[in-house]
Amino acid sequence: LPQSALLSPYELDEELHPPVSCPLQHVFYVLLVCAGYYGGALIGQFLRFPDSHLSLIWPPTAILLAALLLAPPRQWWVFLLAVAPVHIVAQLNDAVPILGILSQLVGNCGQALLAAISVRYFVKGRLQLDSFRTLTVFVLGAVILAPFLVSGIAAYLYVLSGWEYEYWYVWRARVLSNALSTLTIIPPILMFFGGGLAKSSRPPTWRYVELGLLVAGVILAGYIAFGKQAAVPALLYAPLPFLLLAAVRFEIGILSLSLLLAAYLAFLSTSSGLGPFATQSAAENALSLQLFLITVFLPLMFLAALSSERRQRENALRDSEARYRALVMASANMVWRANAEGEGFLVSPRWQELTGQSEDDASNFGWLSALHPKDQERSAQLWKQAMAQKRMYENEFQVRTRDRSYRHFHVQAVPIIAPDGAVHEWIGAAIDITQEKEIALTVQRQRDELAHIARINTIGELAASLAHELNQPLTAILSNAQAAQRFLAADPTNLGEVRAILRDIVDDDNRAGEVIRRVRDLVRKGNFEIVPLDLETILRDVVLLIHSDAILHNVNILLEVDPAARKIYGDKVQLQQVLLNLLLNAFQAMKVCPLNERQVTVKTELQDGQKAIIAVRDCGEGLQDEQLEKIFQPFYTTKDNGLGLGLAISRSIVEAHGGRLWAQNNPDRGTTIYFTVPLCEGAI
Amino acid sequence: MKPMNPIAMDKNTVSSPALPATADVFLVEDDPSVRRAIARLIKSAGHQVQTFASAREFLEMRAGGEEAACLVLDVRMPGLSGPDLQRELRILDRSVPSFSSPATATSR
Repeated sequence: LPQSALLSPYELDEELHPPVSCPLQHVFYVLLVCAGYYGGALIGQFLRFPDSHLSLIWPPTAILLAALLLAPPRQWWVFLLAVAPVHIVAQLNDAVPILGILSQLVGNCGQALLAAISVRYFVKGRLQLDSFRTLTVFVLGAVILAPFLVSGIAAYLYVLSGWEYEYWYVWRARVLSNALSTLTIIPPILMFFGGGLAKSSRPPTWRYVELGLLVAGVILAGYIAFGKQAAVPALLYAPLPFLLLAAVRFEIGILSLSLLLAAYLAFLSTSSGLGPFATQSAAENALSLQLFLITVFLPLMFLAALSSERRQRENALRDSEARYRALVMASANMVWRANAEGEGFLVSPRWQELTGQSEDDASNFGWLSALHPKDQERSAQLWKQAMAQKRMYENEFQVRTRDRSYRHFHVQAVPIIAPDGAVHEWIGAAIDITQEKEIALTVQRQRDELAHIARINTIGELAASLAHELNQPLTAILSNAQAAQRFLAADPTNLGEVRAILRDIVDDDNRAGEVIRRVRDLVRKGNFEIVPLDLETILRDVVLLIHSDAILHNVNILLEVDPAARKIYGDKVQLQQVLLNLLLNAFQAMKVCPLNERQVTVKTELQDGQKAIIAVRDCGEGLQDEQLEKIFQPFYTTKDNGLGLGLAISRSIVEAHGGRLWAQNNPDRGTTIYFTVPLCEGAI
Repeated sequence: MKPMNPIAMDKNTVSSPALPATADVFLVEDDPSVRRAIARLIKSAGHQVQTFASAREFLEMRAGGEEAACLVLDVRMPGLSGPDLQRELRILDRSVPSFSSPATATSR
């Protein structure tokens, strides 16, 4: 078959790519189309029915139309002009009268142009006949409309020019020939040159085998159907199974080629007077064969377009599903699906690997039993709540594995909502966060360790003051005891005094015990534990602990406590440590002040109704601007013997409480250190 | 009376028998329970004792010029400390035998 070698893709006109501006290439394309046109004319003459002007197909017009469909519209005129001399030469060789040639030329070019315009009007961009819509446009515009209309005019011109005589016969013959040519020749050209093949990778070998079997089948069936002299009408449709195979299994271009092959076989037998169509005059035989072929081909082509469309949709769906699966597998450890009631569960195999639960075990809330007992009730509640509200479900729990260890998981699920607003199903993912949890735990343990060391260090600094604090009740007890001895020895015995003394001894002993308890609390190496606390008690405990140190530094401590900000969440010892640090720093900052001006104010109040803010304000010299942040760096110290860890650790403790710790210079003098801690829920 | 140099003394020995039994002893101590205990001890030795919670209070109450035979002072007090008070008294030339007692002394 002559083929149009017009390689310029239509997209070139669409600003996506700059137009190819190589004139030689254009000339090459135009020459190829001319060659195709000339070759097509020769084939048309070759496929002529004996004793008539009628050809089975007339390829030149179809080749010109294919060129127009592939080229941008602004280049159409070049092709139309170029084929004109070719047409004249070809037809002169065929001994057609010159008026007939001219009317043929006008008819062919007009038909190609009309078909191209009507198809291009509805289909922009790349043209492939692989969808129902495109094929419909193509059939209506190029196969029916253009040949019907143009043949009306062309037949008139033929008759007028004296080349033909019977108007309606000519019209009918021209319509059928052009329709058949368009149907069989254009799809393969579009397939080869319209980029239809480029998108698919090299097909596997068995596809070639299948193609070979198809061709063999069409030839054999064609021979059976058309080749016998004694026509057997029942076998007329023998090629149909193979054509159906081509329609369903191959590109529409391959189907067209198969059709062409079948048509050629039918032509061979009919033109030599064999087969079921060789019943009347050559001309009538030709027309009825063409009509037969067209009526068989059209539904097959639509079938091919539909099956190609379905194949594309299936591919797109498969690609999308594969992408989705890959995405899910790459991003999450475990994926699950639940029905609208949250009962039917479909979990990825990893769940069974992990827990030993089968799908049946996991459904109907069975997955709950694989959770840590302390997580079960809360998780069930959260899940039911999410289902009731049709909102995203988010949870963290521990899962008991087959080897009886536990792993932490973060779970999220979203409802798929049907158009009527009901939940269709739930899609969820569970991510193993055990490692993150372990890292967080290690970090916390290290912070606790460091905080403990810093606390011991602080207690060491306070040793002298604490000894004094402990010595006060001891002194009182001793003095009281000695006094009691004397009161008892005196005559008369002063029992009233002795009773008062014993009461005081008990109180003083308790007081000494309290000091020891507070010191022991601070020195103890406890686990970080957030519990509800009373901020005021903590504050007073710390103030009592450094009471002696305050006296030593001549510092007066003023407490301004807001009762609304009393109930907080926190770790008691670590919060005490923060307050202790801030107070001792404040004492240090006021060493430069006159004795009667050394005052530290500790003030608590509510912030945003969600946090307690604690401010420790000194009246020292204040900090330089760059120091306001620097003081929180580890090992930064202004003291002679300080570790430089106090504020760094205080900040990390406050941050572990979800709070913030920062320093600000006061408008008048000194610095205030602020920190926030979370309030107990329902405290207000 | 001849002024005595302030000496650090142990609270155990606060009831020195050298002191005349009728002498008034002034005690300045900020800690209430220590103050009460030492006052009892002095009392048990047969002395009259008057107590003050701070040096400031002592100076204000005693501004009239009433003299005591002995002053027992706490070294570590908020505001004016024991030694501060002794210095103050020397400036006022109202020297009395006085003892500044560092409470920590007993723990040594």
